[in-house]
Amino acid sequence: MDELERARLATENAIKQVDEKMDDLTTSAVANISTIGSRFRPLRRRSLRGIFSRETIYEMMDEFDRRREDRRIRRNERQADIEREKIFELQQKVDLIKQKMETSNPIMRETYRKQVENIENAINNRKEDLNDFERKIVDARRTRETMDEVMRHDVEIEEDRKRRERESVMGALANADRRLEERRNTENNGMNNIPGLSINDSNANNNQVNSNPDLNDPNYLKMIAARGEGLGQYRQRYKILKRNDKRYRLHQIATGTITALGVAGMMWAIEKMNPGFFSINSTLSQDMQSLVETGKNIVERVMSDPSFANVCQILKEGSGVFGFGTVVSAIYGGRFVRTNRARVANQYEIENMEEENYLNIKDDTERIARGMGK
Amino acid sequence: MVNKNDILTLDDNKDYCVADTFKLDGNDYVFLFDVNEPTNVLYTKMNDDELVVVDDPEELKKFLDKLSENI
Repeated sequence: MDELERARLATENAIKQVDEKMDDLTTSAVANISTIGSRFRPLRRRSLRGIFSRETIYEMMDEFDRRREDRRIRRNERQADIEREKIFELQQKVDLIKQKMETSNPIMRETYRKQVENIENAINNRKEDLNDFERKIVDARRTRETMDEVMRHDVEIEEDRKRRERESVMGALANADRRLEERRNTENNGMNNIPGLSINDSNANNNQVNSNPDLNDPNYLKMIAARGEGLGQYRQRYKILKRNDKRYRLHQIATGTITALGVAGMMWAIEKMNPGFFSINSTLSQDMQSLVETGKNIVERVMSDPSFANVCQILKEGSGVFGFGTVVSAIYGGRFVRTNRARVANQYEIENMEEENYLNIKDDTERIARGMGK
Repeated sequence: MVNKNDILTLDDNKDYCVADTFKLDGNDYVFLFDVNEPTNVLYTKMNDDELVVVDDPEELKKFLDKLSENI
């Protein structure tokens, strides 16, 4: 496994570990939800996790706790208000009785004195209850403030974690891109250093190139093997996960999914032998026309000399412009023409064409196949 | 053994079509292209259920030679 692959795997593993940790936190958080307040219907763990995201669950948990403390504050404030009212009423009663005492006889005065004493005891008890409620209010408010502070702190921690994680991923990707660029530069420099193989070789422009590339040069062949579009060629081993039932149908090839240049070249060849068939100048876009021209060059050269040496030369020159895989695909376009002649004709929807034209196309495609050496 | 035009899902989670396959010197060689990125091609040989990229110069030369014959 090369360093590039190791870097990518390390990044993926790091992200996976973070996700697993988040899952653990979610599991324990969800387990606590059912214990919170009778106001909220307890939710089963599975149903909750299926409905809400982790972040939503955390927000819900925090909101439940805040609402609980808010309810506690309001409840205790209500109780405290009730106690204050009661105390006020009792105090008024005491004042009234004391007034009566001033104008009463000694016997009634003693009775009133005992009443006042009982009521003042009740007032003291209620004052103690009031103090309890006020203490509970203070505690609940302090808890509420702590929750807000914790939430702010959690948000800061979470944002910091995400920032560090993002930096780590970006760093790993930048490192992977840098290695990819270095490898590509090494390949290009290597190819340019091999005699006769430079894509800037003036001989290439004069069509007097070395038609016998040094296929014994290990660097050349190794670079051919390593070069390709995308990162697929930088891995050495691939496991087959699945063999699909369906097979790749030819019409998909013709629509350009496999051999953009190959199909373009084939279209050009058919158009050349049956002018007007594709109305090439009027219906094709500018990009397609340039593809057709390039495909034409490749198909013509392969048709004129399908030897291995020539194919390698085409690969070398084409790879400097379009990429090795694309050029190989163009060559394989011809292969599919050879092996699937009738279906190639059909996929261009020529069912309504006159039989003569159809036969011309059939002959043309066979001619192309013969020109390809088979 | 895989067959031509088979579609394989490899462990890079991409679908590849078998463009060509042949036996050579006792090895099963498979030439694949990415169905969604046709320019992404692989020159491989079978090793149990694994596809190993061919990068040995001599081996690759024979691979290309055989591919050329089949064109």
